Amino acid sequence: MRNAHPIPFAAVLLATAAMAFSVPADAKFPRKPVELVIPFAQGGGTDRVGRMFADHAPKYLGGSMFVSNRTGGSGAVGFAHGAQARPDGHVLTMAVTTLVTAPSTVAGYPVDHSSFAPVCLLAALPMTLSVGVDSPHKTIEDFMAAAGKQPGALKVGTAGAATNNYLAGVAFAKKAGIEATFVPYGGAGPALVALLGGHVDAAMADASEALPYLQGKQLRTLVAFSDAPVSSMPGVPISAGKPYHVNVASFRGIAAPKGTPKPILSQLVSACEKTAKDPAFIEQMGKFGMEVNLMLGDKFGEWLREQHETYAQAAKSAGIAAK
Amino acid sequence: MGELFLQGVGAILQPDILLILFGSVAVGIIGGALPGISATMSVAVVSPLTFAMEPLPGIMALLGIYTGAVYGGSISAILLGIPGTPGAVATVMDGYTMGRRGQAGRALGIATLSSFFGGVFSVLALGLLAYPIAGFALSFGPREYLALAFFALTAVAALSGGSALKGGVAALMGMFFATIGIDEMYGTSRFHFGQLGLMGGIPFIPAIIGLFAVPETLAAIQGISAVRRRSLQVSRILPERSALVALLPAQLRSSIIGTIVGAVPGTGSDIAAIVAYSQGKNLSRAPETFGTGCDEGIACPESGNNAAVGGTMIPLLTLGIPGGAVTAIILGAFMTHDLRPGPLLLQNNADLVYQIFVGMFVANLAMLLFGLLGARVFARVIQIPEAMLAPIVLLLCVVGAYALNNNVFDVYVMAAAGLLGYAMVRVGLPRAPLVIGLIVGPMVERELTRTILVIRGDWLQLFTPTSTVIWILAALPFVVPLVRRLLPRGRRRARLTAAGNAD
Repeated sequence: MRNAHPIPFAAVLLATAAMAFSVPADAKFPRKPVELVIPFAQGGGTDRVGRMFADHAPKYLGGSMFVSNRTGGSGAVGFAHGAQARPDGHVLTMAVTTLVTAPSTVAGYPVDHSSFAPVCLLAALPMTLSVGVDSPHKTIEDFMAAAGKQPGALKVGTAGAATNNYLAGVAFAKKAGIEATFVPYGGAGPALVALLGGHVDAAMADASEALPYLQGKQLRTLVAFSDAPVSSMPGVPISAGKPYHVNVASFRGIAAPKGTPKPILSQLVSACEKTAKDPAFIEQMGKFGMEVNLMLGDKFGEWLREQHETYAQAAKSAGIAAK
Repeated sequence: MGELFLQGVGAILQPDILLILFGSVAVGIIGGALPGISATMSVAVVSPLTFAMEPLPGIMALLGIYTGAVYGGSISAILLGIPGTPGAVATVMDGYTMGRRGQAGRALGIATLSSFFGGVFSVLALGLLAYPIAGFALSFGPREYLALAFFALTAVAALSGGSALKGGVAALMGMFFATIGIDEMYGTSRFHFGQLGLMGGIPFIPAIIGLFAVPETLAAIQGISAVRRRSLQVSRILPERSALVALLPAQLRSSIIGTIVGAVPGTGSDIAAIVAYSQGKNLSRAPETFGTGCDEGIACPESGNNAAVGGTMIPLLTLGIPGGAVTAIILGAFMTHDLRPGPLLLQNNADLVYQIFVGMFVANLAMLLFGLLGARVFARVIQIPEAMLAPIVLLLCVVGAYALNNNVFDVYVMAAAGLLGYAMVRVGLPRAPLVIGLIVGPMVERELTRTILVIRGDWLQLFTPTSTVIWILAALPFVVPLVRRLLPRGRRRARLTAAGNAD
């Protein structure tokens, strides 16, 4: 009887010893695989960045990570899942542009940036305006002049009206004082295909979306709406300093649910920083035309707030603000 | 070119590449056959594993899974009445009916041979006519898509199973359900009542699973007390040669349709199968047999959906355009290997292009082999007593609905769709038109909106050369019978009046 439970006893001893040398058990993070919620479908830009991040982050996080595509409702399903998860760092969410545009454009959108604790920004890509290679418009000035001559005649393919892609196009047209017909597609991808087929005169897309076609000499990018030159698109004019300048980026970052404890949050921020500085991650991102623009913690939060305000204004002036 | 082709054959006939191709086709068939695991999901799940491979085996693995999964959808459609993938919706009509007659083996055989025909046809089209087809596909703008969507909608008539009125009611129900959620174009909220699960629209695959599978299991449960022994014989797999020869024209037409519909960006194997089934019935010598378990009713959608596989690769390889979710993932795989599909691929990596071409051919061979060898095994499913099969199928429904988005709400949708499907069966409303409404309804709406934006009020502009042809093709099956009916009647009337005059 005395030696009835030797192994459990040894295990308890060992466990106690282990605990004595480590942090308190409840603060140990991660205790289980970390889920990265991707609110959009497989194959899109957000999915791509999320999967690359999940490939490289585990070694800095000290635990495994898996992605889950929770799609639907212009991202509402995934964002809401991520925001309502238990705030212990085991459920992270891709915080992307839609999180700051949809609350201003979609009535009853269930979440916004304030539902999250910001972790880091990974990439921000400027929006661009491109035309077909055979287009008579060689420069953005040509394009604006043509649009000025025949208001509404030029067709511009965009993503859905709730997106930053569409809002950027509308904001540009307003600043440039031109009138164009915006034709919303399911995303920038289909809008670019419509441009290649000659069904629209121009298309809005972010730099990584337009890049493959630009490199294939299938389209001409007239302008990048950016404050700084775009390294992946040398020779493409930027809008900075011009009267029609709008600074609109498509961004992809990581967020945790609001209320995540400080120690866990700082652990996440540091893992994210190390991942973003990992040369292998940077190289993989580069293959998709994406530069890593790192912004951490509260600074990212500040930036999200600003973006939210900007798009609220843009939606109001475009006349598509949600009531 | 010949040399490159032979090099391609050499590269593919390596043991490791062959192993990957056969293995991935098998994985694809299983994924496709499991309800709720679509071709897109199978490819997405495997794609990260391929990043560490060399480019050729990595891309071959994805193409093998893609080919296998689109085919695999037909297996559960035939055996269980559940379309394993959206592309197999039309296969349920005749495939499942034939299987219930005790000819599941024959149905699987025809599905396999037709899928092989469609797959090989589209690979040949990819190899020989990629550039003209890509150019034609790119010429599809909002007006052409709108016409194509209407063409697909006419399939409602073919899938109504007798009553066009009932079919129309079911299709309108489907189109209504498709409007639920946040609209993709202008972000308008419609009928979701603040329900998070509904904001993204009715999740499509859970709805299909519920509509088709649940009523069958409920009916089976009702009949369980009357212990029926089912036919224990698995019918022959290969139909007689004369039947096969008779199928060739239908397979060829469906393969052409499938390749083109696949090549057009934004449409894939689901629309291809629907259009192929519809034209198959309209051009058939015996249209009345469609829906009663006829050979052609299986051959058309199966040739169509597998032809779409090669079709979707055409714009991807020639122009770098991913036409759908699967090709978007494959494009991603190319890019992680520093390869850019598009005009430059044939210049810089011509060898790879030929290897892909040969590899896809071999993938279709693997599919044929597994399909014919496996059919005898798969078909034994019908020997499982209902009392065991029904709960297994219900379990598959729940797991399949959940697996798609890891979302319990989808399981509720599946259950609700199941009850709706049961009610529809009871009142005699056909279910396939509802699914067509769900698939094609949003396409009609979006393309109509874009068309209105593009033509800016000038309705004559609706008719471009291509769209006009499609409109005529869509209208013909409805106009021709009317004309035929009017003509003899006119003659008869003339004869009658002549007779009256003689009196």
